[in-house]
Amino acid sequence: MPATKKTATIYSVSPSGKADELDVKQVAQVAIHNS
Amino acid sequence: MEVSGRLYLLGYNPAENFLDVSEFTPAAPWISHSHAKPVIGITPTSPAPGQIPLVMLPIWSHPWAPGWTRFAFFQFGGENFFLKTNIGNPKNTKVKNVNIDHVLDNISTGTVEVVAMSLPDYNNLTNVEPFTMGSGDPYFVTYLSKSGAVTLNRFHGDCLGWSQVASLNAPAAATLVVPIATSGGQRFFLFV
Repeated sequence: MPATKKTATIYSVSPSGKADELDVKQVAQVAIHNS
Repeated sequence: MEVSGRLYLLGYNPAENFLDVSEFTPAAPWISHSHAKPVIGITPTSPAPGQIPLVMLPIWSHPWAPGWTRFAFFQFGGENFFLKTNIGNPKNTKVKNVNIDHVLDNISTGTVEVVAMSLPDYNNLTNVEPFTMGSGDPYFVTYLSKSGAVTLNRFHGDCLGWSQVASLNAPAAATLVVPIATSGGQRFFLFV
């Protein structure tokens, strides 16, 4: 199987304190290899 | 999908335009087939010697329009709802193609449409996934892989619509969007 690489990006989601608004922040980005 | 402690499967066959509701239940000799039109086939096998296998019992079937996709299940008051999108007529941009459906209390009566709305880029979205915040408040996330555009949306308490509550640009070309909930109440999204 040829080696492949994908990127996984993770965001956290939390209340912003305002009505109808959420805070979204990137917390991690990692490469995933199958080899 | 769980209803009153019992496990059900909703299956949609876009080729035959049928929605089936089936119940997972232990195999029993008195079960007879209903008029439902099965969309998948399962051969029951026992998990261990002496244990009764589970079978799928068709209990409701209904013709649907073609082109439904991106089913996102959520709950209000312990009852089951789902968002679904129709992409069967992409040239018709004026039709409200995104519906909220309610799985009725008596599962043998099937599902009913609650509201039809439009959603930006409904025809091109690649992912629509449900998630919850707080004490089970239902939301959904949309993802457009060609641009990486993401929206987060809150279902209204009257179940007659939703409001966008956040947007961001995630990496493009992801194929998986996975909401993650921790036991401590934190919420994350994984894009791969």
